[in-house]
Amino acid sequence: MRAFETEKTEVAEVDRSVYDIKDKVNAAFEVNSGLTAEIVEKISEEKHDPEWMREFRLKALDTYNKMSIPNWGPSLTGLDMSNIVTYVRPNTEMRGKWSEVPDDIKNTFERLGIPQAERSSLAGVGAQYDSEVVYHNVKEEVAAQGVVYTDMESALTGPYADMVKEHFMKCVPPTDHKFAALHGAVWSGGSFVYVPAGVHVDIPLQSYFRLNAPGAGQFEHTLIIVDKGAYLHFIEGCSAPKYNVANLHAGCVEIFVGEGARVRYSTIENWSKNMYNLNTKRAKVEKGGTIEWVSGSFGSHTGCLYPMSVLQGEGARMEFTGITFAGAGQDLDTGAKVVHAAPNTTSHISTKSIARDGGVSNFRSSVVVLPNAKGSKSSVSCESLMLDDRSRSDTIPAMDIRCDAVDVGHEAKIGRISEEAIFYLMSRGMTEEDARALIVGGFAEPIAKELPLEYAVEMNNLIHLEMKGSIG
Amino acid sequence: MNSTMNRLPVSTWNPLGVNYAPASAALPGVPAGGWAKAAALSPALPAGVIAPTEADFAHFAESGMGTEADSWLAENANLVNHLAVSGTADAPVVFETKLDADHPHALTYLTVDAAAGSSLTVVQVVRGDAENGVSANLTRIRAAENAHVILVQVQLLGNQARRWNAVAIEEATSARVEQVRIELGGAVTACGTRAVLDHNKCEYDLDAVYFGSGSDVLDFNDVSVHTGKDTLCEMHTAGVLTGHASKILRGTVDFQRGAKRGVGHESEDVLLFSPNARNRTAPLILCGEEEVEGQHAASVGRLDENKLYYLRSRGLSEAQARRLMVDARFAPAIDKIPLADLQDEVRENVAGRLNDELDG
Amino acid sequence: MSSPLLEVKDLQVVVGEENKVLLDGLNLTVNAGETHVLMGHNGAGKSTLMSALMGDPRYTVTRGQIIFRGQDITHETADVRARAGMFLSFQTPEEIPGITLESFLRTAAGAVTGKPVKVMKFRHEMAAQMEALNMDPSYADRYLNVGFSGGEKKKAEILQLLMLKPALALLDETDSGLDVDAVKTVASGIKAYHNADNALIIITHNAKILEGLQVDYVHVLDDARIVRTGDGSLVNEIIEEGFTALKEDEAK
Repeated sequence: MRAFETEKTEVAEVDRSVYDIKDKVNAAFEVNSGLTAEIVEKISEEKHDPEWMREFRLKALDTYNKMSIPNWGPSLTGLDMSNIVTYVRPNTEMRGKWSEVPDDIKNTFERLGIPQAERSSLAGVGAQYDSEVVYHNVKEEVAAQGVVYTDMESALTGPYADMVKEHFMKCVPPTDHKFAALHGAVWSGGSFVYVPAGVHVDIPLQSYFRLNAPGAGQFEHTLIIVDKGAYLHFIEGCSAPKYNVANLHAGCVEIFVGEGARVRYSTIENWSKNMYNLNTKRAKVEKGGTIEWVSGSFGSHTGCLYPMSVLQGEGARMEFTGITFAGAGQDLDTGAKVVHAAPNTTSHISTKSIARDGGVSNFRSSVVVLPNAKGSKSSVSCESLMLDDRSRSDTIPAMDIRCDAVDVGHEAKIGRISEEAIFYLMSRGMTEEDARALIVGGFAEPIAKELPLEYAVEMNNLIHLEMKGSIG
Repeated sequence: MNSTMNRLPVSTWNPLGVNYAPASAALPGVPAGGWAKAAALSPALPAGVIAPTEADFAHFAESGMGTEADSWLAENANLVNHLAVSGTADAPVVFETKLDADHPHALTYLTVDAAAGSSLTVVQVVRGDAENGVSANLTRIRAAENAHVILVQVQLLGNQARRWNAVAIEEATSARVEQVRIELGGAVTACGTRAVLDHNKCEYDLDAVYFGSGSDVLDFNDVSVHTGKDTLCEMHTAGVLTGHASKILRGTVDFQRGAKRGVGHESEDVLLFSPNARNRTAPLILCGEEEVEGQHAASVGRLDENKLYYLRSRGLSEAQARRLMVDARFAPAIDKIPLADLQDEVRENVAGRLNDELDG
Repeated sequence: MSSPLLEVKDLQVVVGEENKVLLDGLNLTVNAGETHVLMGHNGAGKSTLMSALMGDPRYTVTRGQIIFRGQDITHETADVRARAGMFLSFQTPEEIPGITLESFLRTAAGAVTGKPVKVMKFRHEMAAQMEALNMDPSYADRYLNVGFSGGEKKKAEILQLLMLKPALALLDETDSGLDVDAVKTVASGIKAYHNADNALIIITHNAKILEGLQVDYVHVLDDARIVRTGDGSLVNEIIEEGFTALKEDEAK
């Protein structure tokens, strides 16, 4: 319950407006709205893509044009691709030092607490401003271990170019769904991480992404390759100012977990409430490897987020711990997917959904056990909390089991805060609002426990912010 | 036209194939010479039950299989029966159909109109087998205030016939409908029940059992829609899959806004006896109301080795031990059959299928 | 003599949609330093009185007044009463997942005192009190009442009493479900809490929990009101002879 300790003092200081500060749009270059081969060619040219990438983009565009928008899940009718500026490059060059980052950008990051986080033990910050990496720094001791942490553009032409080419969109092919195809065509920015065999990265690598220009989409690509027996914790945090024009985020995260390696990928997503967050995240896990997802979804207007794990090596493991909190105007469809494609693989999915004030918070999952996955185990547990009768929370799990030597379990619960529990807490001096916030915080605690302290605190603050004025 | 049969109330990823019934479970084509004539059903009626020639179910709620399937089943039925009950019927009404070479098609349409405060048990038994045999059924139940209807469906077909079974239920205040659905045979089995609980304090219970073997296709879609206050549903399914059988079960508890103090529990327990069987399960809870309690649980796998070992250490053969474990899972449904002979027949049928499996 | 700590005047309490009357015309005065014991058969209204005093929203006060420390709190919510210095030890304390006992108690202490709690000082005091109550220190880090045995829950309630230091403690069958040793421990906790500035109202069927306490008044509830008030000797009389004998006494 560490997050809770700070509530009285810190909640009062958190001001929602800090997340809503807009910087003046000062972009050097903007492509026309709408998406054509010419635009994709232009992006490719601007980014000095190698030839294979240019071809890759055009092929993905072709796929994008052929595919239709999914016929399930939240409504995407508010999205009008012909009006979305797909690519905005900020008026700045790559920076290696904080002091050289332009003031307006720096101010926003400072308000979001990023330099503070860096100072307090983080390995490096790859902060993306609009679609271009503006700030990048890897601490020397991590680099000395042979760990590569760089922006995707540099990685495409650097010493790891072959490794990138070998892995890029092999986990999430552009044919996966329409927005993966879009991503393949217009991706820009993001991070590349390579951890060599046996290296244990003690401090988490951290990356912040944010959108700035009105109407801008963001398509950053994160490629993480963790070699045999290595360990990495990667943290992705999002926070964006609020705009009136619909924003689209169709990023892509690909994680290759080598034999016996372990990767933990943590996210607290807090996009502004006009964002369409259609992010695709996927991991392939080799023999004896482990992928751990920790995922908090608080922001966005509409969200579709289902990190997927392909357990392709014997004894591979995945754990997914997630929380989704939807308030007024939000339709958040989140969950996880797993494919057991090798013997003795294990998956454990545990989620919490909260819906209030007319928000929609849905859980969706897919567990597939292939015929060769003998001895595999899977458990799914999801719990939903409804805070009023104007909101919605649907639980939509599915499993496809094609092997008999398995142990597959699933359980789900839905309910509300008990009046007796509120009375009990009030009898100890808490106001009704605080009692409710406390119970919701307790509901979220299993997730907070999995997060680094500063994120747990931030998540708890977000919950308190969301719970303010929840009575009546 | 059957592309949307047994539709999952909220769609999910298409590649999973659970959004609606597969093409292999589509309703049959009408044979060139029309449906074979079936021997009329005229069961004994206990006091309080009458069989009117007409019944008005024109604007009735859809079944779990959907309106298109319902219309088709009603239009193609070659055996139509209507029941109306008032007061307490002291014996069950039993409908028995049997497929054979001369009677390969039994397409039944049954309506049950239960007056306020009445109670009735209806048993529908299907036996026999035939090449290209078709056993189709649509049952519509209207339960008025405080009515209590128990529908027991037992399907003991052979492995050639195909089977469709749609049930639609409407309930008034404090009504209760219990359904027991035992589906043991058939090359194709597609079933769908939908209960509309739009009045206060009404209840729907389902105890379902299935057995899939060979290359059987099984497809289920059960939905409980809660809009009244203090409604309750208990939907519990147990099944066995052997051979190359492939099964999809969709179970949905839908709490709509206003369904205060609604309670819905749903579970499925699947035993896999073959590495080639395929089990798909999609247990949904849809929730638009704060003050509800919804839960679902599913477990899929083989018999627990430790339990099997324990039973064998007490002298049971593997076959006996398996039978015992299956019996235990099927008991809640079988025990609800109101006829002792039929209970025995079902148990023997299950045992026979398990023996076939173990011998084969 | 200052004004009484608690004054209950002509209290009528109803419950449920049918407005069932559970208390009717109840009067009670409690002064600082006093210990009151409520007795009566099951359903006599003892727990109802405690719940109504604490402001349980399931009970509605339809007549009368509750004056606590000179303030009319009849229609105040539970948190206002708690901050005014009232405490109820629940018969069945709620389980709250995700919140540890320690952080919960610290939050409650902050709410009741209205001052920020000094973490280290609080932790030390809590550890000491837990030791006195024979509670395993690991309970501080466990989720509030989740998976606690009946006895552990009751000890946790007394721990809260000792840490929050209310002016009036309402103990609703705090001894039920406890073994002999645990009752002794809890009794000594209650004794440690009690002083000239605070007061106790205790529901019990067992004299053990009163050991070491000077019982000033015993009230017998029946039929929605107090039917008899006596001194501490009434406790043993009732335990030995039961309510029936008492009633027969009255009839004579």
